[in-house]
Amino acid sequence: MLMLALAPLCCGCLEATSLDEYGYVLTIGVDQGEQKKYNISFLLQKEGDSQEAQTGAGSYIITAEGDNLFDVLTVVHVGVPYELNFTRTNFILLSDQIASSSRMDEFLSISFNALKLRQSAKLVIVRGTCAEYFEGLASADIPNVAKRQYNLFRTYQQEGMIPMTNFTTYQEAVGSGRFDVAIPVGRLDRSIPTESDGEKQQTQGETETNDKDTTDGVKRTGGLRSYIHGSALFDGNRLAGLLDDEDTEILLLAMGQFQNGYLSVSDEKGTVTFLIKETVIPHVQMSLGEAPHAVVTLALFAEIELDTSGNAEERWDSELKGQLENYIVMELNRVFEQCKLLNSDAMRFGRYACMQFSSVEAWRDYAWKEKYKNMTAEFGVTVKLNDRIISSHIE
Amino acid sequence: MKLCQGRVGKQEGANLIGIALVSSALFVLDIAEAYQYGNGTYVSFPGAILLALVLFLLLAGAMRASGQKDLLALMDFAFGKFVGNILSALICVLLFANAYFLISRFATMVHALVFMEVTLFPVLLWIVPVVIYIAFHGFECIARIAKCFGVILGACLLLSLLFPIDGYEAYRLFPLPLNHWDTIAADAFTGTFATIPAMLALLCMAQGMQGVQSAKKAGIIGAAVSIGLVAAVQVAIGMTFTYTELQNMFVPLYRLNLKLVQESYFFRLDKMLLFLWLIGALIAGAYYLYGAGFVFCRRWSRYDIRPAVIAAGIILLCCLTTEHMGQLQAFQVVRQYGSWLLVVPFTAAAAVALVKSHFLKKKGQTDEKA
Repeated sequence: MLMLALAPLCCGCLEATSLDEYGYVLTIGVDQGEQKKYNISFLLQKEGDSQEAQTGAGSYIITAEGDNLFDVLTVVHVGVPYELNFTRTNFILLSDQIASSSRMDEFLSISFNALKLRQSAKLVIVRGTCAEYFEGLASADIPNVAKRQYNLFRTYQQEGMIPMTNFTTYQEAVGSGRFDVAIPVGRLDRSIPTESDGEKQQTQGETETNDKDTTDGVKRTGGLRSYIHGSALFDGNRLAGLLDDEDTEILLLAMGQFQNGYLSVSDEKGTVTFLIKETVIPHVQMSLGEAPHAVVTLALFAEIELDTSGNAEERWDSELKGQLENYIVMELNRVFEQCKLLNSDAMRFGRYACMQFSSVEAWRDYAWKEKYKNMTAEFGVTVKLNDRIISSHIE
Repeated sequence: MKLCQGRVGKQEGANLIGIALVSSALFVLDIAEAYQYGNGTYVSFPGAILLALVLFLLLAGAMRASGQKDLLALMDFAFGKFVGNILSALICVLLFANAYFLISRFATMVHALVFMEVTLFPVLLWIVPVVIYIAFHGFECIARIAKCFGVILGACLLLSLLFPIDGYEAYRLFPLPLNHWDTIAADAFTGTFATIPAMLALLCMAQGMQGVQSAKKAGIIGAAVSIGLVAAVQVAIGMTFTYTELQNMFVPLYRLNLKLVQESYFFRLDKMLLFLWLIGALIAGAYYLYGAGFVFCRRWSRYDIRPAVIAAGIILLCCLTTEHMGQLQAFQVVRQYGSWLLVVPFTAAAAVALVKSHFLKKKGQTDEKA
C-alpha cells in the first residue's frame, strides 16, 4: 500500500531535469520560410532569477528555418544553452500566408505529444509575419509575457470580443466537417514606436506615422504594437477570409459565445449606448433538405450605459427596442451571408444539422458542407431591458 | 497448500471487482474499432459488464443449487475432471491475458504521455514488480488494498469528469448510432473478454470470500457501481470528442480537458490523475495475476502459490517487452475469440450443473421415498 501511495510521487524520477535547464516556450509562430518551408519563431519567457531577466526584457525570440518543427528545433538547440520546453506553450501563431495554404495542416500534423505540447494550445492567425508580431509583443515594460497572454483570455471571457479556438477544436472542425472555425487575428500597430524607435524619437524628434498602420483604423498611444482584433474564418483547413471586430461580435452572438459589448443607437433625439449581454444560448431549429433552413432565436439583455436624449427608458418599448432588434437581425443576416460566401460554417449550424441523423452513414452521405452553400437562415432577436433601476437611475 | 487466500468480506470484494472492471472496461476496451459506427460505447462498455454480471449470477446460482464451493468444483461437477482441467486452463490464460493487456496499456500510457524519452523497459521495470509484489502477498492483501483505494479512485474518477464540464457539448454524441444496435450489442459481447475473467476469478476464490453468497453480493455491488461509472465516463468522453476524433485517439479519458480554452487550477491535473488510475491498474493487474496463479495451483495441486505468482510475473514482464505489433496481434486474437471461449462453455457449465443438480435432487427424493 505504501508503495502504491508513493507511486504518484515518482512522477519526476525518470528523465529528471533541473528547472533552469529549460527554456520555456510560451508561443510558437509559423511563417513562410525563404530557404526552407517554414520560418518558425519561439517566444521564450525569461525566468525571474536568470541573468537575462534581471538585465533585459522579459522575453526573447529565437527564430530558425526548417521543413518542420523538429528540423527547426535541431537548429535552435545548437545555439542555446538549455532545452526548449513546450509544456507552457499556450499559443500557436500562424501567418495568414501559411493559413491560406496547405502548409498549415502539414505543420499542425506534428506529434504534439512528442514535444509535450498541449493540444489545448490556442491558435491565432497573424496578418503579416509572426516574427514581427512577436517583436511587437516582447517589451521590457511587460516583463511577463504569460500575463499578456492571459489578458487575451480576459478579453475572451469578460468581453467576448474575440473567438477563442484551440488546436483540438480546429482538429474537430477539420476532421468531423460539422462546422468551421473562427480564429482570432493578430495584427501590428506600426504607429506605436518600438523601444529602440522610442529612444531615437527622443533624440531626433517626432517621426511621421502612416494613418493606415493603426489599431484597426483608430490611433492609439502606448501599449504593445501587437494586438488581437477580429477573426479569421476557415473553410475546412484553409483560411477563407477575415471579419472585422464588429462582424466578429455578431458572429459570436450567433454562435452563442458573445459575452457583452456596446451598441449605440443614434437619432435626432440623441445617442443611446447599450451594453448588450448574451446569457442564453441561441435556440436553433433546423430543417434539412437540399437547401437547409435554420430559424435562430436570440434572447439578449440590454443595459443603458449612455443616454444623451435623456428619455431612453420611456422610448424603450415604443421605439428603441424595435430599432435595436431590427439592427441586430440585419447584422446577423449580413454576417451569415458573408460566412456563406466564404463557404465557412463559422456560425456552426452543422452542429444542429448532425443531431437529426440516426446513423453515421446517413450523415456522411448528406455532405453537410455541400448543402451549406444553399442554406438559408432566419434570425429573430428579442432584447430585454435589464434591471432598469441599476442601468439608468442609480446615479 | 499455501494459496495465501485469507478471508475477506463483501466490501473488499466489491471494491476489488469494481476496480478491476472499471480499469479493464475504460482502458482495455477503448480502441478505435469501438467508434467505427459512431459512438455507442456508453452502451456497449457497460453492456459488457452487464453481460459478465449475468453470467456471474448464473454461475453463482448453479454453484448454490449444486452445492459446489467454488467455480473449479462446479466445472468438475458439470463436465468431469478432464473438461474441468481445460476450462481451468482457459480461465488461467484469460486472467493472465487481462493482466497483460491492462499493464501493457498503462505502460504505454506512462511511456507515451509522461516519460517519452526513455524506452518502454524502464517504465515496465517500475510497474511490473509492484504488481508482482502485491500479487505475491495474496488475495486478502489485494482485496484490502482495493478497499483502501476503491472509494478514493471512484471519487477521483468522478471529479475528473467534473473539471472539464465546460467543454461538454451534447451534439458530439450525434449522430446517435440508432441503426447500429446490432453492432453495439456485438461490441458489448466482444467486450466480455475483458470483464468476465474478473467475475470468474471471484467465483474461483469464493472460499476466500467466505462463501458463494458473499462473493455473489460483492460481485453484484462491484459490477453495478462499475456499470454506472463506466457509462458516466463514456458519456463524458462522447460529449467531449466526436466519433471521428475518437477513432484516432489514444486514451481519450486522459485528454478530457483539451477542449477547454479557459485554463483553471485543475487544468493540469491530468498527469496526476494518470498516476491515480495507474494505482487502480496495479491493483487490478495484481488481482488478475494472482487469480491466474491461484487457478493454476488449485487445479494442479501445487503446494505454494508464491513461486507460481513470481513465475507468472516474470512471464508477464517478458511478454510486455515484446514489440508493440506483437502485443496488438495478441490483443486482436483474444478480442476475437475470448468472449466466445468464456461465454459458451461457462454458460453451458452453469446450465448442465443446474440440470444435473435438479435430477440429483429428484433422484435423492425418490430414493428417500423408496
